[in-house]
Amino acid sequence: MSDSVGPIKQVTFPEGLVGCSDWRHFVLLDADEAGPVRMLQCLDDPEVGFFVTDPKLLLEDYQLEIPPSAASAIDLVEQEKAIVLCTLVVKQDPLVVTANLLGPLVINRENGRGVQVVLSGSDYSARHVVVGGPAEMS
Amino acid sequence: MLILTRKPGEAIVIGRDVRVSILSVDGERVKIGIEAPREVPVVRQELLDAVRQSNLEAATAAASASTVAASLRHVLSQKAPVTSHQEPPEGSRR
Repeated sequence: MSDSVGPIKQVTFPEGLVGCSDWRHFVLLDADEAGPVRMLQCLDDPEVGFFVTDPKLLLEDYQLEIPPSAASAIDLVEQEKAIVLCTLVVKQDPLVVTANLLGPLVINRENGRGVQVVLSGSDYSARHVVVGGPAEMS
Repeated sequence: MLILTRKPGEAIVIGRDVRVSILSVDGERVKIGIEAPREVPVVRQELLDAVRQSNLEAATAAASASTVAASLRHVLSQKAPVTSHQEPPEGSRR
């Protein structure tokens, strides 16, 4: 499932990302390779890029219900046609990596449209620790 | 900002379809009921703030830390249930 991104390389978020509505057009790099981490590079601002991964690799039972508002924003009819990615925050010295499981990116693989969903009914963290001890977390 | 005073049991209607009711007040806690069409997202402010903050941190980190990609891949590939995949050499990327 995590490797079945298909031919989509360009991703458009019609509403931008949460709090960052100017970031709309992206390219998903390494999309045809099976590595778990990919790069979502913003075309609107070359300084902006995200490491992203499949949240199920971090939390096996990660589940989300795509809200109807999000599904209609990207013309998603069947949930199986969605690619779900979470962004990673990477800090060095020492290396600490956290994942945003609260606000995953949902991409319709059929049209390359994406939306960032805020899972308000869930207990998922915006700073789920992937690498580095809890001592580094505030 | 429009400021209104309401009592428990009273409500406010926003537009045609959104209704915000004050259900109860207990000290500092106000219980609010929201009726809105399914296509209208209703989210607590602090969750939006957390996601926005994470977006800003993730974006800048990626811009300055592209060299971390290889080690990240390594760490995550050890977590991944399927690890038979051979990582291609760095130069083969299109």
